[in-house]
Amino acid sequence: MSQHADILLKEAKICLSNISSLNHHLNALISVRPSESVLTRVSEVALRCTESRSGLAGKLFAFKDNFCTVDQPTTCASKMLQGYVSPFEATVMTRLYKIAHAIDIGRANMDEFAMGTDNIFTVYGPALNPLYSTPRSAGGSSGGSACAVAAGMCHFALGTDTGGSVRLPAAYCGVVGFKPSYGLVSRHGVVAFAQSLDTVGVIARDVQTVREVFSVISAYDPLDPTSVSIELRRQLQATTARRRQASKGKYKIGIPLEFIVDSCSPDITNAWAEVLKKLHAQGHELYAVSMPSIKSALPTYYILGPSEAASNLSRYDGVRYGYRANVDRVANGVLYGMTRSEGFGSEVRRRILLGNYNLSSGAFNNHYIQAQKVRRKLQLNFDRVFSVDHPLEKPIDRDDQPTVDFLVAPCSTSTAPLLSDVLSQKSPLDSYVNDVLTVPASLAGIPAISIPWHTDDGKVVGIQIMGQYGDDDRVLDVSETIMSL
Amino acid sequence: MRIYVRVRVLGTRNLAVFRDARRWASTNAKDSYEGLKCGVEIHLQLDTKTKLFSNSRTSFQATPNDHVSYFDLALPGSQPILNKHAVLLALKAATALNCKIHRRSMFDRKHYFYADQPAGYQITQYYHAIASDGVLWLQRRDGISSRDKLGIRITQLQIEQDTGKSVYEIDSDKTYIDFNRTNHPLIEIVTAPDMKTPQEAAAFVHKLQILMKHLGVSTGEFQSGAIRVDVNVSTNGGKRCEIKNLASINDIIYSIRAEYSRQLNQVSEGRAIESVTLGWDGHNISVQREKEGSLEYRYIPDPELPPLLLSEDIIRKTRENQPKLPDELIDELTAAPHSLNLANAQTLLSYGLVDYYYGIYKILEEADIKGKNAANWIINDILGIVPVGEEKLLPSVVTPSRLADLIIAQKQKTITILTVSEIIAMNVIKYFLQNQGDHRATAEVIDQYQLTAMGDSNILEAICSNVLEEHSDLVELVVSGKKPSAIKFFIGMVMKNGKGRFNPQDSEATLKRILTEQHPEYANSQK
Repeated sequence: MSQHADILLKEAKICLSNISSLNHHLNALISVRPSESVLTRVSEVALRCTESRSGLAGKLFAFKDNFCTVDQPTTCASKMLQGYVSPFEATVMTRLYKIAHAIDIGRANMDEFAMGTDNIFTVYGPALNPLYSTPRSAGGSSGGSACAVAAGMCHFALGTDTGGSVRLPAAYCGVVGFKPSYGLVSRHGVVAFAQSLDTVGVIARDVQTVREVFSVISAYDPLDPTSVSIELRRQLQATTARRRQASKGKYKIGIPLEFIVDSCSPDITNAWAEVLKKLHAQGHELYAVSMPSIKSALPTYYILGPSEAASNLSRYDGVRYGYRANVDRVANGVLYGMTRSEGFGSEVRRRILLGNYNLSSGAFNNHYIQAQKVRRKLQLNFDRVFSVDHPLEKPIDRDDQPTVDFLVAPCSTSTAPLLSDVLSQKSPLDSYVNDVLTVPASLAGIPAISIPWHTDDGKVVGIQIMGQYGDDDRVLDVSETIMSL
Repeated sequence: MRIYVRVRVLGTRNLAVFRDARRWASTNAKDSYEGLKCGVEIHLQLDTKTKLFSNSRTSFQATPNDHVSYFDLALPGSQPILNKHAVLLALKAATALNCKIHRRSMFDRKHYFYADQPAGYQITQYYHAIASDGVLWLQRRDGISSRDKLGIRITQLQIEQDTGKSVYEIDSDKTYIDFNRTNHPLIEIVTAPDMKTPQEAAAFVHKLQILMKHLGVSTGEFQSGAIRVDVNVSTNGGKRCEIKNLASINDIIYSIRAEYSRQLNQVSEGRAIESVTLGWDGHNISVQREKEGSLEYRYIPDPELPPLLLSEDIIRKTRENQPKLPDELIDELTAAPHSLNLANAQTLLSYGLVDYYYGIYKILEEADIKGKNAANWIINDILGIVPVGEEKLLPSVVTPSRLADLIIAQKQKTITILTVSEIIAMNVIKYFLQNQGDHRATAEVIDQYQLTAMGDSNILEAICSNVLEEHSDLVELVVSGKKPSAIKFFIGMVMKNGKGRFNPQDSEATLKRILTEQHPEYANSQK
């Protein structure tokens, strides 16, 4: 056996041993492949694939429970989908299996239907943060994915990010969590939460692995109506090459003033300041920039997201698949009432109610339509700040304001909270406000990444880097730069 | 009620032909409908091979749940991919209805829970439809009696998905669901309340059916559910009431009439007319749902379907490639040199046989035979023997040149058994219809039928009857006994017309039998 195969097997064994020793406590994975079959598969792949063929060949990964695969149930951590086995496979899974020859070790825990920020709304019980000995939040909704990576159970993991669901758990768990530009990675076979915001994201311990996974899964998919075309991908590549050459490794960094929020803990603001100082010391230029519409981002997100979710989740009626109650209708004759109130957990029910309220004819114009307008404004705010034009929009007049290559800001308002604190929250709003730093990039559809920053006093804080739409590769470039500071 | 999903074979249904416009155009035309205003909402199934947002096939009589894809069933993780052909058909329809075409339209979701609506919503175009502001002109010949010309305004034309079918079993608490129809492409056409009598509403729907069938947009058949009609009715500016799911032209006429009376009665009893949804069972109107306005569909722009963008080019090409429309064709057919009567022109059109007629017309004219003969042949002779619903196969089976050859053969008397030429001609046509793999020329098949005709007693009978009919004066002399020997003349004529294929004994026996049947007194003269 080659040296490369030896390394792969050795790494796989470490992952499997971490799973067997940690998963029963951390609850990161809700289904685990048998060790023997994983090792057999690693050996097979190692024999067939040389080192040069794919950096991911024989590497292990976990994936969030909302990616469809054909051999295990896809449940979205919901009672509603217990036992549901999809007849088809998500495009990204196929690409990882067939093109990258990566090997999955099992499905990762999550907040039910990707709604939550602490991975507590799950039929499998909370996933825990592996960085701490006392039970702390792993973050959500892709908490299991971030936890599995941080605990060394796999080389990387797939998650989904609708309003921060990859970045926030990555920040809490001290790993890298990348949300690509909207539409670059196929969502075919990924159970929808809110399609105008949903993206597939990657979690790993280093940016290089994220880059390798991203290069495999970022491809045009004719099965996804929102997939970015081949022509636009070519255009983006050309632009990236041009910008890389022009910047020569020195960047103009924006400090978005609206990300300075009262709820930020000192740990976070200190870490942010450290990063900025070091960037400055390295010769990168810093600019304070303002995007006023960010103040409305959170309410906008909590109108649009739940509205789309309420619509998407209408299909869970127990007729064709999934959980079904003993009676078809509730006392007043409304169909599926019992099935849906028994099958969905509390957070999902809350968001469906919120969404349906916003879509009702009385509220629609004042809520949904207004939210769409604010979203548009926010997108224009971002366009005005970035030095480069949005590839899908007309060039805009920037009023001679300073423009920047990237924005650097915190990813969360605090480090991972205690699970007990999270569970005793009185109002769901307490957790919704955690999204304040992540939803702006989701609403704008731009690439955003959370990278772990180890502060001088030993804390791990998620630092968020955002770039113009389609500037994903350079967001990864600057992330590597910052991680090496 | 419990809802079950289970496969069940539905019985096949017969397709019936369109009703002729003439049959209802005169229905109670003289009744007064003062103050009546009707608008219609029509759902038309587009005649595409695959569904609106998936690549499963469209079907009508297939085994239930045989043509169903992941998206049709709203499986988690499935996504819609728009069928471009459906968009092109909608564009054709909108162009023919003189609509304003919107270069940017959007898809929206309309939510309601029902077992045959798997996603819990229907994808439709609510906020920004593909087309609006059109008009379809009705003429007197379309069945409107009070006005020469009447424009029915089209307020909106939108693309949307069909639902599945719920099948209720009698004496059972089970409902079966067939998802074959789920996601079949539809267009919904909504008119302004421009129709002021039931006949005008019927004339509009009928004209639309013919137009859409002519364009290949939809089969337009009521029987298969390819067209579904809702009518809204108001009187004297009162509230609108909607009659749902009318299944024939007659139902449209009679239900509007009934609803008009109901509303007048309501008012005369001093009660206000409430906006309600009504059902029609073929005889009676009944209120199905009160307060139309209270339904909450929670419309939302579909977040995963990009806007539908049409290029100026495709809009222009659709307009330029539009075939001649029914009105123009009828004008042509009823004018010289064709000068067909309106009914024949409409029949050719409604079966999609105008081009067929023109093809035969041209060949006949080149052979110095009056081309318009083709119309009688098609309508009177051939349509009667073509299986119902298979009319559109006719031009490819009995091709224009085949039928033209047959008509020419008959006119030029190359079908030699003269008086039975039509029988043979019909047999040849039947033969072609039943043996679609046979590519022989018409003349060869005629020969085959001439041969089998030899000695055929039906044919002998036809020749004899014909001879007797042509010489009724002589028949009189034979029957009355004044000149019995004249029977020999008849035998001679039969021998001649039959080209000697029948012997004199058989001929005489057949002649005498026919004479006896038609003239009982002849039997006496024989004794």
